[in-house]
Amino acid sequence: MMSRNSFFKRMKYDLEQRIWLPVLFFIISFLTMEIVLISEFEALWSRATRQTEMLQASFFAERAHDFLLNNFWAPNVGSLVLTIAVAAVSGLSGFAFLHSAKKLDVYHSLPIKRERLFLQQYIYGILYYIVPLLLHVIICLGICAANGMLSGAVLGQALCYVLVQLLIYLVCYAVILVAVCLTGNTIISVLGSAILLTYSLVVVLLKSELMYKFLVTYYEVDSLTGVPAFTPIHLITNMVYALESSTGKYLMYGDGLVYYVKLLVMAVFCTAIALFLYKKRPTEAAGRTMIFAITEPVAKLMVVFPVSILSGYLFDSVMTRNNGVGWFVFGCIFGFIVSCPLMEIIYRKDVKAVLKHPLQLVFNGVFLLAVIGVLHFDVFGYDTYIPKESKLESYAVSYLDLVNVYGGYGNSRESRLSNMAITDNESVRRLLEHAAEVTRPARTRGFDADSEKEYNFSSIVVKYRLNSGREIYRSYNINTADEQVMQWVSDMYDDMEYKMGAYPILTENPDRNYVGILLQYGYHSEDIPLPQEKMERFIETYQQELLTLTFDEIRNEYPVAKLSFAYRDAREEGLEETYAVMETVSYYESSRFTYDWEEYGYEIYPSFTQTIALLEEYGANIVNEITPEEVVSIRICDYSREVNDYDGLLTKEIVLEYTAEEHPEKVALILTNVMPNQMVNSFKMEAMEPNVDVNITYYIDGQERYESCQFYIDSMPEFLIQDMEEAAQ
Amino acid sequence: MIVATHLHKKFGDVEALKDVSVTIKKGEVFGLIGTNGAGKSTFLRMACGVLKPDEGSLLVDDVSIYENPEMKQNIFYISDDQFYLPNATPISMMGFYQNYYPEFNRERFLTLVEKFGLNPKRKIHTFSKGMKKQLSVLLGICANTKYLFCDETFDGLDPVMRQTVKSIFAGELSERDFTPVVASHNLRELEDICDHVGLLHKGGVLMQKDLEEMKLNIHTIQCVFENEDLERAAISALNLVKAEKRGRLNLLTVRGKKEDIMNVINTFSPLFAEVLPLSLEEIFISETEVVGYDVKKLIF
Repeated sequence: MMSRNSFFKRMKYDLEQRIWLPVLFFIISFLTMEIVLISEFEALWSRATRQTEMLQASFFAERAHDFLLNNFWAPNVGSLVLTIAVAAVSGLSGFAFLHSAKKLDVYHSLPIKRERLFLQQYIYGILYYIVPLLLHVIICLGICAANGMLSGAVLGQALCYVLVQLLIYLVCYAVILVAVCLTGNTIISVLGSAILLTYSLVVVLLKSELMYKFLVTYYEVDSLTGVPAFTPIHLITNMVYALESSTGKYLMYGDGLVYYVKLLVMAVFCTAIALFLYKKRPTEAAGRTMIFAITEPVAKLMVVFPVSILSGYLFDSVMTRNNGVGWFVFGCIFGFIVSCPLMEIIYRKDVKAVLKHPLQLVFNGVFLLAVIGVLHFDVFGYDTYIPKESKLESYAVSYLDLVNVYGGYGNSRESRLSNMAITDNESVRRLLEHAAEVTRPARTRGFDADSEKEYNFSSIVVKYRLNSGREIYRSYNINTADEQVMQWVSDMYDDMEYKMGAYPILTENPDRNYVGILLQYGYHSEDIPLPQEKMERFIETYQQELLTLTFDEIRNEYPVAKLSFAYRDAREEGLEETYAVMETVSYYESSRFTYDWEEYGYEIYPSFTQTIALLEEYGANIVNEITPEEVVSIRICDYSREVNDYDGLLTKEIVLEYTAEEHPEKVALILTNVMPNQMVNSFKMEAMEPNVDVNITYYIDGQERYESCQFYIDSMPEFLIQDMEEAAQ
Repeated sequence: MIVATHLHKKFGDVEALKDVSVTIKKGEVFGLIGTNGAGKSTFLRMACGVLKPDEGSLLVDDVSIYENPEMKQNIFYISDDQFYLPNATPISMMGFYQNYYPEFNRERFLTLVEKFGLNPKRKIHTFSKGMKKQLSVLLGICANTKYLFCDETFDGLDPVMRQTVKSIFAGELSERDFTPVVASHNLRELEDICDHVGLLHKGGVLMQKDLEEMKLNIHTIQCVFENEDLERAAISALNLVKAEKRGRLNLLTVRGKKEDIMNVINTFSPLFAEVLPLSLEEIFISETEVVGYDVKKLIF
C-alpha cells in the first residue's frame, strides 16, 4: 500500500511541474463564482432599496434564494465547459510522460508498480480540481452567510453542485486517460480525446442527417435521446436537459439520479479501461500514433465514415440545384478520398503509406456505400412500415392543418402526441395505411402531372405506441383532395380520444392556473382576465361546444374568433406581487393582466353559441370586421404575373396602394371581399385567391395595427383587376 | 547476479535482441560494448524493468525484474539522454529520487556535488551535457543501489572526470555490494573502468570475457631471431594468434601467459625480444578476427 507520506512527498514534485493547472483553475473559478455572486448580490440589494424599507430584506432574500438555487448552484454551460476543460488538461498533462521515451525510461525504471504510478497520477489530477473547487464553494458559502443567505436548501444545493461537477470531471478525465493510453503523442491524444468525449453526438448528427436525407417519413422527436449516450458530453447534455424543470426554473438535482448513476458507471468503467490499457501498453510504444494495432481499423472507420457523410452533406447543401442524392454521393466520395489517405499519413507519417492497407480501404468504402444504398433504396422498408395491429397499443396523430393548439411550456407537438391515445379506430388505421403508401412517392419522385388524379398534400406526424412500450414516429403526407381521405380524417376528428389528446383544454391540468383569455377576431383583439369561478364556467362551456365541433364545420366555415387561454404555472412558489415597483416573474403581460404562458390556436365557430354568449356577458364584442374609417391604407401585392425577361421567365410583383383618405369607396369594397389570414385554415385555401396579398393598416383603440388578408376566390373588385392590368404594362 | 537467458526483443520488424544470453557477476564492473543499434540500450532497459522481453528470461538475483518494485529498488538506471524534471535543480532531483530509493545517501550526494563543482541550486537545464552526465552518475551512486546501469554515460566525460568516477566506483566496489554495468560503443573509454566485457552486435552477443583474463592470456611480442630457421621454429612453437613481419622484426600476437611465452622464445636465442602492452581495442580485434569478424567495422 502506498504510504500517505510518500504519496504527498511525490505529489510535491508533480505539483511543481503542474502548479499552473490548479492556479489557473482557481483564478478562472474565482471570476465565475465569487465575482459573479458578489455582483449579483449587489445588484439585488440595489433593486431592493427601491422598495419600501420593510420589504427590502424579503425582496432581496426571495430573489437571492431564487438565484442561488436556479442559477448559481446549477450546472450551467460555463461551469460544465470549465470542468471538462480542466479534466482534459489534467489528463493530458498528467500522463504526457507516456508519450516520451525519455521520460518513460525514468518513470518505468523507478521501483514502483505501474498501477501505483497510474493511481498516483490519477489522484493528483483529481486533487488539482477538487481542492480549488471546494475552496471556492466554501468562500461562496461564506459570502452567502454574510448576506444572510445560508440556509439548508442553499447548503444542500451547493453540495449537490460539487458532487455533480466532480462526477462530470471524473467521467471526462477517465475518458481522456483512455485516449492518452491508446495514443502515442499529444496531438493524437487531443484528437482522440475529442472523439471519445463527443462521438455519440457525432452519431446523433449523422443519424439525423442521413435519416432526414433518405427516409422521407423520418420524424425526430429528440435527436439527443434518439441515440444512446455512450460518450460523456452527450450524457452530460441529456442530464442538464433532464434537470431543468418544465418551467425552466428550478433545477431539481434529484431528478438527475439516473444520469448520475450512468455517469458514475461510465467513470468507473473508463477508469478501469484506462488502467488496463496503461498496464498493457508497451513502453517502447511512446511516440507511435496509436499504440494497439487492433484499434487501427476501428479508429479509421470512426473517422472516415462521419467525415465522408459530413462532406456529402456539405456538398449537398452548398449546391443550389436540387440534384437528389447526386451531390451528396459526390461529397461522400470526396470526403472518403481525402480522409482515408489522411488517416494513413497520421498513422504511418508517410505519404507512400496511403495504399498500405487496401483491405481496410475497401471495407470502409463498401461500408459507406452500403449505408447510403440501404437508406436511399429504403431496403428495410422504413418509409412504408406500419406496425401490425396486434402489436399496437394506440395511435397519436398530429395534423396541424386540422388542430394546431400550441404554446406554453410542454405544449409542443410531441407533448400533444404524448397526451393522445387513439385506440380501436378503423378509419385512423386506413388513413395511416394510405399515408404510408403515398408519402414516399410524393416526397421523392413527385407525381405524374398528366395523371387524372388530383393531389393536394398535407403533412401529419404519427406516433405508434406499441404494446412493448416502444414508440415509433413517422411523418406522412395525406392527399386532402381525396374525399375518402377526408372521410377518414373526419372519423378521426370525431373520435373522443383524438380530441382529448389534441386539445389540452379538454383535460385537467392541475399545474395550470388559468387566469384569462386572449381573443383575436379578425382585426380586433381583446384580453379578458377572469376570476376563477368565471374561468371555470367559461372553460366548461367551451369544452362542451368544442366536443361537438365537427370536421365539416372546420372545413366549410370560418371561425368567428381565435382563442388563447392564459395561465400561471401552479408549481411556481410565486413571488409576492406586493412590491410597489414592477417586479414580476411572469414572462408575458397582456394589457390587463400578467401570465406565464398561453395555450393558443383554439377557435370559436358560429355554432359555439353559448361560448359567444358568455363572451358577450364578459364584455367581449366579437365583431370580425372593420369600417373604412378605421383603415389607414391597403397595400395589395399581386405575385401571379410572369413576364419574359432576358434572364428567363420571372415573377413580376405588382404593388398597389389605396388609402382611406383618397379611395374610401375602393377601400370599402375591398374590405367586404377579404378575410384575415389568421381566420383561414388550410381547408379553405382553395376558397381564397392565391398569389394576391392584401395588407391592411388600420387604427383600433388608438393603436395602429396591421393585418394580412386574402380575397375570397373570384371576388376581386373590377377596379382592382383593371388597376393591376395597367400596372402590369 | 544478472542472468539473461535467450532474450528476444522486437520493435515492429526490427529485431533489437536476438537470443541473448549474458551473465553479469556480482561485484564486477561489466562493460557492454557494441555499435549503434547493437541492442545495448534495449538490454539495459530490460535489465532495469522498463521493457518486457518478448521471449527468454532476465533474472536479477534469481528474481524476475519486470514489474517487481522490491527488486527494482536495487537498480538505478541512467539512460543515455537522462530526463530531469522541468526546472529541477540537483537538490530537487535528489529529493525526487529519495522518494523512491529509501537508501539514498543525501549527505554523500551533496558532498559529491560540491566536489564535482556542480551548483546544487542551479537549474539543471542550464547545465552542459557533460555536467548533466556527471549529475546522473552522482545520483546513481548515491541511490545506494546494488546495480547501476549506465547507458553511454561515460561517453562525453572528460578524462579527469572519468578517472574520478572510476575511483568512486572502486571505492563503492570495495565498500559494499555494488555492480555497475556500463554500456558504450567506445572501447577506450571502458578500458579503464571495466572488469568484464561483453560485445553485442546486431542483437546478439559475440563474446563475453574477463578483461584481465583477456589481457593476461594474450600478448604481443616484438622479437628478432638470428636466422630464419630459428624464426620458423620459434613461431611454430607458439600458440600464435597473429604474426606480422617488418624486415627482420617480428610482431607476434600470442595466446598464453607472458612468462611461458618468453620461455619458449628464449629457447631459440633471439637477438631481441620484448613484450608490448596490448590495448583492449587490440585484444578485441585479435579475438574477434579469430571468429571471423572484422571488428574494426563493428566498433570504430
